[in-house]
Amino acid sequence: MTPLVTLPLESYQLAKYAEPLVCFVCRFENSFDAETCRGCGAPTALTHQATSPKRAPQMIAVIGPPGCGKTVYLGMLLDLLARRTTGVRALARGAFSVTLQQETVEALASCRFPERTENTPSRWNWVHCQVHLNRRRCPREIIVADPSGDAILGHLEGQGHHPAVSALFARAAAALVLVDVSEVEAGGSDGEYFAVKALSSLDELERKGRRAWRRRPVAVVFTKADVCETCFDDPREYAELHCSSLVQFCHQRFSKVGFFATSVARSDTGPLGSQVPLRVEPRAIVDPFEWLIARTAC
Amino acid sequence: MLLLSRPRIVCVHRVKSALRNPVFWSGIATASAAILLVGAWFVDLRVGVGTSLALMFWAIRRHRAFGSVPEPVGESAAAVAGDAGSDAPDGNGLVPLRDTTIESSLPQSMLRQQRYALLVRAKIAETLDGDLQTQAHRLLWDRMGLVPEGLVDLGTAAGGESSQVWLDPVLIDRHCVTNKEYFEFVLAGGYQQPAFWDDDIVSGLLDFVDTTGAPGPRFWADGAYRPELANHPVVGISWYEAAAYARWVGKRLPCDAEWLKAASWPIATGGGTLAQRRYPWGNTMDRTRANLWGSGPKTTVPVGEYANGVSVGGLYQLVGNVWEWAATPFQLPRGETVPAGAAAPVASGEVPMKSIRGGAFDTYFDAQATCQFKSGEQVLARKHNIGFRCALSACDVANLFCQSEDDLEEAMI
Ligand SMILES: Nc1nc2c(ncn2[C@@H]2O[C@H](COP(=O)(O)OP(=O)(O)O)[C@@H](O)[C@H]2O)c(=O)[nH]1
Ligand SMILES: [Mg+2]
Ligand SMILES: [Zn+2]
Repeated sequence: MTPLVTLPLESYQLAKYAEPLVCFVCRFENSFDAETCRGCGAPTALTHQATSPKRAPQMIAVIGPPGCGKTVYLGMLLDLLARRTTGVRALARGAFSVTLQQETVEALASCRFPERTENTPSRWNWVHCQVHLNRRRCPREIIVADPSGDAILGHLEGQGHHPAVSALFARAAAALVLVDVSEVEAGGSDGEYFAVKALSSLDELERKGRRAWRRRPVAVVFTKADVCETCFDDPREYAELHCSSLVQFCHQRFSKVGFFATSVARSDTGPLGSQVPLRVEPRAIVDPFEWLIARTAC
Repeated sequence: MLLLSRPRIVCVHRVKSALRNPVFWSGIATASAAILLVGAWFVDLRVGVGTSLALMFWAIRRHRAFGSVPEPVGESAAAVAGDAGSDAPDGNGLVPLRDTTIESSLPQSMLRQQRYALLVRAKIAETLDGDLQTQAHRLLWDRMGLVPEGLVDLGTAAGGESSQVWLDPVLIDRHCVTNKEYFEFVLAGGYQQPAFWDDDIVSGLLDFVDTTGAPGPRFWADGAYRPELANHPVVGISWYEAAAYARWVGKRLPCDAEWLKAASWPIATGGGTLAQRRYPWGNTMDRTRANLWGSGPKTTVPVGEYANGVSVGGLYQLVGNVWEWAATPFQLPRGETVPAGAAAPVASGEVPMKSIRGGAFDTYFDAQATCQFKSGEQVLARKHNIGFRCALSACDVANLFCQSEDDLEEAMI
């Protein structure tokens, strides 16, 4: 008979494993060693990090239909913030926070646009960074996701279950709503409808019996504004001219609304019908982000 | 009283500041060196073939050695125009009426408007008196740099073999056209004279207006530029406006190959290959030499700045500050990338594109600000970061080199 071997119980370790890891984004209870949240697909490293600093991070919801330029905009934004060429600076937290910037800039530098973002939230790029605004001393912990447009669309149309999107909508401190100028210029209004739908879905959310989003800042960002110079001259006027129902809705339902025009690259239709960036010249990329951060409660 | 006393004060002031200016003294030194050199050349009469070469080099060097013109409107232009500063809008942004008595003749006014290229053409030059001819030639050498004849490698689109082309000698503006220079064109009614415009655009001319609806570049107001931007390159102009200005001053837009040759300054290395520079100053990026993203103020700067980024031929800001319209149509390379049997490529709309060169103050990647890199823009686009410079075929200039020989003699006396 083999004698019973008694192993010393590392009780603190067990306790650590037994305690579930509550996802920072969606509150799902994951096992401690999961890599991505089983609820929303966000990397659990994000939760590990988010619980360590003294100040809880704030999320910014980036909203826009597939192809409106979310990935390109965010990737370039992060590169600009990391290069410290502007007053606002950002430090990426965790390796996963660098991927979006790296993939976008690598693609642009070799005269391509990045691949389309896949629908599965585990393939979304999540970014956690520490943002320093010049004006305020305290650095801010910010979490931004580059969501798949299809998932947002699905959520808005009530098709399928998109916990990451619902979590973002409910818990984000601010929203960045992207509207594609090239589509507006082509006479389309899908982008505007999408924005109005998304904003009204935010507007319906309640917190402690009040409209949760009434005081949260909303930045309406016209992307790909390189196709229409006048959009840069006065984005608000452009919005009133081309997206009047969006403007109306914003002013009625939200107290902090800003309109911005941005563009990352000038592009042309390539041989296979795809867009090829002719040259990369970021314009007014940081403005909406800075505006939002300055208006979210510290 | 005031009017009478002012010029004298200015004169005294100018002499004083010239004596204090190190450039003045280095100018004297280089001039005497040039005189010695030329003297030696006159003695050695065997040098027959090398004449034009030597002169060409002298012309190029002269410009670089003297530190070039400090401002787009050089001294000689100022001398011709009397007080050249009087044309700039005053502090209120209003344009004062010109004192017409200064200009005694049409050629004089053309010199002041930087239209010297018209006066150096054979047909016209022979009708002018010698003094005017000299003035026009001086201005020409002052404002333009010679790109000698030879081969240039246009590079490859998609990894194929390189394509070399032979170019005849061409003169290219040392600086991009400034707001102040372009203003002369607007003031002279350039937008109202169909002769300067391509036939296909005459009906579209009414769209080329500024912020107040007056004819002119997109960012101007009331037909004038902001005074502080006088020496900045003119931007907010379509390709047609650039081409029309060029025609007005008797020049044209450079083609892609000419621009590339001026910037990359190819040198035959034997074996049929050409050594071409990646940037006008050499092969490595140096952000102190060009106004690009991350090196400059994120907006245009005066055309005479970044003198340390000058090309071999003495051209300023070929890379950085603003993109420059070229005469060549632009198309994305559509070679091997289209698989056989694939549908015909979709054109990017009806508006054709022209090639633009050299990168601008907001160009993000070094690789997109090289001599070789080219981008394109729709001909009607009036962008905040696209300007232009003009070119003139050397064969269009009467006695291109002989005239500068006169200059040499003059310099010796
Ligand atoms: N002209 C232009 N096109 C852009 C710009 N940004 C993105 N695009 C185009 O929009 C497409 C989709 O961008 P992407 O960021 O992937 O959109 P997402 O689906 O919202 O993430 C790209 O492939 C480009 O063709 C821009 O700044 N200018
Ligand atoms: Mg995407
Ligand atoms: Zn989750």
